[in-house]
Amino acid sequence: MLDTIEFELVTPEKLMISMTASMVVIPGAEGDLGILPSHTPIISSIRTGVIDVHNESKIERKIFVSGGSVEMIVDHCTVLADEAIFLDDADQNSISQRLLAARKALEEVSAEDPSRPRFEKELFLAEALKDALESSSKSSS
Amino acid sequence: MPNLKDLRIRIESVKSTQKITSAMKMVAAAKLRRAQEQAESARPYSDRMDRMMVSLASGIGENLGGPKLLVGNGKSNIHLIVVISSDRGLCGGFNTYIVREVRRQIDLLDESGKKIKILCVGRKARDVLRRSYAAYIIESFEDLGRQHLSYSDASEIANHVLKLFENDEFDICTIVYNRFQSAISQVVTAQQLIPLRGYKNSTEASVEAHNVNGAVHEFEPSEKEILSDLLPRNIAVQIFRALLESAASEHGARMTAMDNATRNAGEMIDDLTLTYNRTRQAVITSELIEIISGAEAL
Repeated sequence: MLDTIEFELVTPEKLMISMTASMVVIPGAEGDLGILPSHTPIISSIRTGVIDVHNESKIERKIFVSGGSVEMIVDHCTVLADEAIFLDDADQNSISQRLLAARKALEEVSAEDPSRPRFEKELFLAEALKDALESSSKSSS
Repeated sequence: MPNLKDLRIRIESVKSTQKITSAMKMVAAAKLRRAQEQAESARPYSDRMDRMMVSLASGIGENLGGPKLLVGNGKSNIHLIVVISSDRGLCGGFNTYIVREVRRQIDLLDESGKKIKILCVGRKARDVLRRSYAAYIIESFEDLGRQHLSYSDASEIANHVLKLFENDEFDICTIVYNRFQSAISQVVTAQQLIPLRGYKNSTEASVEAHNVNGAVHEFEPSEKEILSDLLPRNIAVQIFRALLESAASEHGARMTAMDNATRNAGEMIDDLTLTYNRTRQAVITSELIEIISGAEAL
């Protein structure tokens, strides 16, 4: 039996990361999933949140995902995310800018605009991203 | 006999055309490389999405009735054709082939008395189709991915298509695009998006694959909910893939077309230069004859 799993994170645009990990914590739709080697095969939806990739009992990478799904088969853990950002090397300025832009864009669309949900979603994502970044920088310092 | 000045002007103009076409070829080659890279890096996602869909669809489908996106709404009266073409021309037969395929499909559907709706992506197909099928075109998207084709472009189209489907505006959706095979060959492909055909056929294969893995999945939340989350996303992914393939094909087609144009211009310059030299010699000879005969007359 292996004591690591192969973790893969893909977005529609590219394969973001492929690495081995001793544990992966995923924000599942119905609560966080801690995935260890030999986890039962599972397919689950992911809510907006942060994926922690653990290696040798410390968190090696923190990755923000906007949502998606995860599939686990025989020590392969594949996350399909709509959008993923590495929190370790995320740029704080660009994130706050994104938040501001999202706020502004939402203000500019009228309430009846059919594309409004998209702007609301963008604002929600930008806020979640900022929170995630703040909490991760707090815990590391 | 053409006069020398005219020939010189023509040679110059063909030369500058050649410069333009060869520059366009270079640009297309660079863009092709980028588009190809993008298409390749998008492949892992759609591969894994396919795999996940297969393992989901094998469990669901016949027994549970299945979501509409997977098994259809039981009708096939109204067809939606999503046509993916380019915004700009000068890319050989790229758009012509797409339009030809769309026409063929429309004729087939017309014969069997189906209703047709068209959604155009890209200016070129819209311009051509509007001439004969203006009534069918319900929407067109343009200027996608001018700089960089992103997933959000694809999901915008997907959302639009899904909304139409929810409102029962069509029963079957097909996407027509140029699939990239190599820089010199693109294959026009028609792929059915809604309902998702093919997964049923591949069910048996996937069950086998399952047994090999020994994996029966747990689902969280329920299988049905995941499927209803994944199916719309799958549509967006398929559209994204088609857009990427089409972008790569477009640049490939343009590169080939411009390469041919450059070569033809080269041939034309050679021909014209030959004529020019011949004419020049003839002029010199006739001038000499005039001088000599003039001198002899004295």
